[in-house]
Amino acid sequence: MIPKLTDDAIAGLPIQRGRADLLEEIVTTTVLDDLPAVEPEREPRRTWWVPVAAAVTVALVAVTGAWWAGRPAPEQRNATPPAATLAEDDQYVVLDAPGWELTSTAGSVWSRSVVYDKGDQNVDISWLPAPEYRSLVADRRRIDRPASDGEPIEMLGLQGRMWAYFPHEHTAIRPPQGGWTIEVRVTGMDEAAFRDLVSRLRLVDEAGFEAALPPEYADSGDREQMVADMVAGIQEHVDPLYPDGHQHAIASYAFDPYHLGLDVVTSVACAWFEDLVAARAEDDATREQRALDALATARDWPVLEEMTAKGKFPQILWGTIDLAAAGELPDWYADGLGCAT
Amino acid sequence: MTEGREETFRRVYGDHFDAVLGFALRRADRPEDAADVTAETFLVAWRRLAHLPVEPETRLWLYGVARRVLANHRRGDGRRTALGDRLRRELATVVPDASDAVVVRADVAEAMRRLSVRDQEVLELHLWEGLEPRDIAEVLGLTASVVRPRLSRARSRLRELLGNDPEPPGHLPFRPHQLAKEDQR
Repeated sequence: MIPKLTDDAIAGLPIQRGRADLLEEIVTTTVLDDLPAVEPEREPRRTWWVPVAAAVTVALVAVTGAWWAGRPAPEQRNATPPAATLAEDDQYVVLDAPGWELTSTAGSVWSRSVVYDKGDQNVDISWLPAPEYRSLVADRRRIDRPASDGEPIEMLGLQGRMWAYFPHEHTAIRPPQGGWTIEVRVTGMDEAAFRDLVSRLRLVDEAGFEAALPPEYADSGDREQMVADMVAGIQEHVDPLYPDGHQHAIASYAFDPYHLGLDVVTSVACAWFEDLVAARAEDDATREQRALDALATARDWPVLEEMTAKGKFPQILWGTIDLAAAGELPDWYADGLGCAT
Repeated sequence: MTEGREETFRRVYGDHFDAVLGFALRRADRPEDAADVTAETFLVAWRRLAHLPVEPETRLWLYGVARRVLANHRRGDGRRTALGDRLRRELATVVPDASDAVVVRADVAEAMRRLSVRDQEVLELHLWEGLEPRDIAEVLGLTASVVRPRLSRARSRLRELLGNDPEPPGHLPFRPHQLAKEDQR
């Protein structure tokens, strides 16, 4: 395998002659201005207003019929909301085929996705607001060269289009209905198997979707209680839960306990990291120590203990807290912990 | 061809050659393929110079072109450009020996290979090229609202996958330079 070199390392490779030759070869070629455009077709940027940024001290937002934590980026506020609510009937998709396991649920207020795995095969189903349909199709058309409209495929009762990235990786897009467009991308099977799998997808309502979830996942009925329990466990060690003056909401639509816990923990921990950074910037030793003390209790947060069996996030968080205590909080901490998204 | 046009292209080539070659090398199966992708990408830029966005978006545009050229190469229907023969030969010789200053640790790279292709692509642009969601969206021709949750999910899945790693890496770095430093220790 080729080593994944940095750009700096590449600049140091002894390839000056090849680099110079290529430049001269290119500038002596004929210019053909009538070549088809290859640059991305862009739609005007749109932003969504996300209602979870309400100014409350602590609000547990466990939204029924919708999905996910939306920690909106600043530019995603103050604009138009998605055209449809996520609670619309029969807008959930389940894969009704033996051997497939739901392994991931992800998304935001304005999109969502689920992933099913079966050995090395992988099905990724994404929902996007209907206005994204044009830019999605424009992007997928360029899978083929020259760009093409792909092949027709019957998809959940509508005529969609499909393209092949590789012989064993395909994607299909369903035209908007009910305010949403759906894309299904599958790796690890040929076209015939892909078409068969797409034919096994079923549209269901929210109850139908939740009925198909693995038993350990949270449904809309118990999500709020699960979040409250996690918060109570943290608050036994950190009280108040957030730094003075912070306005926070925990909004989670996650179904699996790991991601639910991740949303809860990052809401609290990121607030204290943010406070720590501000304290250091202002040379406020008292405030700095308070933030460090709050973060130090994370090793006792029950939710993190439960998460250790499933993934590495607790170790990442604890390691970052150790670095912070040593005065070496890396500048990428927010990205690394998911505070920035 | 006007003098101004050629000067502009020479500046673009000089400013972005390492980045485009790096993008291609980090993804291609062989150094020779990376040379072909680089040559084809800059040939497209030369022919489409009037359509090249101004800085700082030039590099994102070039990444977008390189991505599509690479996809065609992988599918076996990308034509091998007649250009860049010396670069191809030089890279074939020097790259296998270049083992320092890598952008990603072996365990992270292995975990990334287990993600879906789409998640991988977003994560690679973030970790290898150091791009943020808005820039990734430019490269992929999507909107940032599409990329942001995808990147978030990819990172979550990577964390989960690394959780199964028998050799815990401690905290997970998300900066290429940081990774490079750790590997050099």
